[in-house]
Amino acid sequence: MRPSIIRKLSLIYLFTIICLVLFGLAAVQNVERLRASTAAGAHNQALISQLQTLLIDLLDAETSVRGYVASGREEFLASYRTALAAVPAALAGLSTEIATPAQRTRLAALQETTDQELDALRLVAESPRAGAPAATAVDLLRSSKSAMERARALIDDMTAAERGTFEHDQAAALTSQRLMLEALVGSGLVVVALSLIVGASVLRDLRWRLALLADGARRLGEGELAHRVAIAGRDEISGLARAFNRMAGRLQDSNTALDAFAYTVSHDLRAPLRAMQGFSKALLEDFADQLGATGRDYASRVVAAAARMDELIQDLLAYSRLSRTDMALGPVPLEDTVDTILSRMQGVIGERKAAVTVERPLPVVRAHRATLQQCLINLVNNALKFTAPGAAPEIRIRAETRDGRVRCWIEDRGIGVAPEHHERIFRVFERLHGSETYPGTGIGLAIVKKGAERMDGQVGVESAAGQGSRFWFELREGNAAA
Amino acid sequence: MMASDFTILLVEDNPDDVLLIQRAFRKANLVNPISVVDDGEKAIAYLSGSGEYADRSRYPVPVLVLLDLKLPRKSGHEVLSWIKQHPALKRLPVVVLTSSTETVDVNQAYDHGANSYLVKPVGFDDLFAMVKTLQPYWMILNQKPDMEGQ
Repeated sequence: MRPSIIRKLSLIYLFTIICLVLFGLAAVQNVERLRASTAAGAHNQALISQLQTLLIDLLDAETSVRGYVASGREEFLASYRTALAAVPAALAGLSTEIATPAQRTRLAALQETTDQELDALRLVAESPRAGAPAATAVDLLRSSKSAMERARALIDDMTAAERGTFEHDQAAALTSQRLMLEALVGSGLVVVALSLIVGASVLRDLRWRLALLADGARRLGEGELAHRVAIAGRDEISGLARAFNRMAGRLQDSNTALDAFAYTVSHDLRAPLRAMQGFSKALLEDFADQLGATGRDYASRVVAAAARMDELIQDLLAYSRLSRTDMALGPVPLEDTVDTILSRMQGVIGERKAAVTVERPLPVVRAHRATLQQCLINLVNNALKFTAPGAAPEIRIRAETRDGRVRCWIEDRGIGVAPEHHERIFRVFERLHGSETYPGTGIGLAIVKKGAERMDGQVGVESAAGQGSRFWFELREGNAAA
Repeated sequence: MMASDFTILLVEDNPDDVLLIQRAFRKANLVNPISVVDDGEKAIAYLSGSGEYADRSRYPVPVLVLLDLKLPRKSGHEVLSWIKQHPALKRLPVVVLTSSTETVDVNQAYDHGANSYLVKPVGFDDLFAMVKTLQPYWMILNQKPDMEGQ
């Protein structure tokens, strides 16, 4: 079973949509991660600057105490006093913001170290008032300096750690961005490739099956009514094929019905005609004496009427057969065909004392032999028939080839056709003359037109009243070698 | 010559056509007795000498069958293929005489082994001419087959 085309295409769309949704989710997640890493980066930077401020405060405090020791002036203690308040505050701030265990350990150490330094500095700063000896002040300053050195090392470690975290976060954000880009390009490529593959297969399949359908329509159009399109499956195209086959089936059915009708006409309608004709003839032959002149006239009229009706039925049958017969076209030599029909019509040609010229050679045309013969017979018959009373018909048959098409002319010097009638005369039952002067069924030219059309051709006439007529039919040139 | 040597069997359901064909035979001075049956089943009964046709002196095996195609009960095509498959009758000349000019009918008749296919003309003169040629062709010129031999 062939899956529906719409379903195939829907699958591609579905896949594309799934890809897009997944990508969208990844993008949202990535943006969230980027935002978080930016926030974390800002936090890191803030911590680093707080640590640096703390270091500067500590240095300032130490410097200010040293200045006080060297000068003995209280004013040098300003920075020390600021630090005394700022350092514990800074440490408290850091302890609320630092979460990682390693940093907390370092912070605790830092706290201890700064306490030691500040304690040492406090002792020095308070000493002149307490009268502490200078030697003690130097020891205290040394211990403060060493605490200061440890605090600096700890702050450097912490800064480095924060910077490391920051750099790690930045790198992770970059990696995630790169990954997302790769996923976008990759899924895009997969979607494009999949669309191309499925699309190409759908297209190829579609083209192949449409070609089958087109071929089926062409063959049906050419009258091959038994032809069916072999397309299985349950998609849209096979639905079309099934509808096409149903249509062809109904066409074939109605054609069969038409055949049966034509058969009935040809068989049953003619039987009573035979009886009318036969028994009138028997009356005329076996009972001529009893009938009298009028009786014989009536009986002759019955005979003639039956003959006319038979002709009419035959022409109608020929006309309807043209529409329904399978007409296989092939190369037919026009010259042979003309010779055949002329020899078949020898009787009537001799009777009318007609002069028929054929301009040889005549080309090969693409035609259906019997139909071509019928068309030629009807045209030559008309040329023989439509002459001025008493005049001997002169007929010329010639052909010209142009652009792969052959136009065959049947020209006479008869009574001609006025231009306003040129189109009408090719219609069924159209007659220009009373049946007394030019008897006929009015179907002959309609047969020629229908026949030519069934053979991919056309018919026409060039004529004026009293000027003779030049009837033509045009067919495709036949390939003589084929 | 006995009647049994040159009887013609006419299978025709239209009495008008029967009369006209008989008249044409008379006019052509053909003296062959014509046996007439008016449907396909009777034609087969006649030819196999069964039922009412058992008396071969009254209903002799014909030398020629003139067979219409459109017949009641059994069509001319069916009668034709029955004759051509019958071991004792398969060489009996059968001339289809019908009004159908359809190619399907013509081809099918020949496929079933018809010896000739004639279209009933509407004009009596043409029918007369046709009957007149039947006599010399099928009764005189045509070499008759040995019906019994293998």
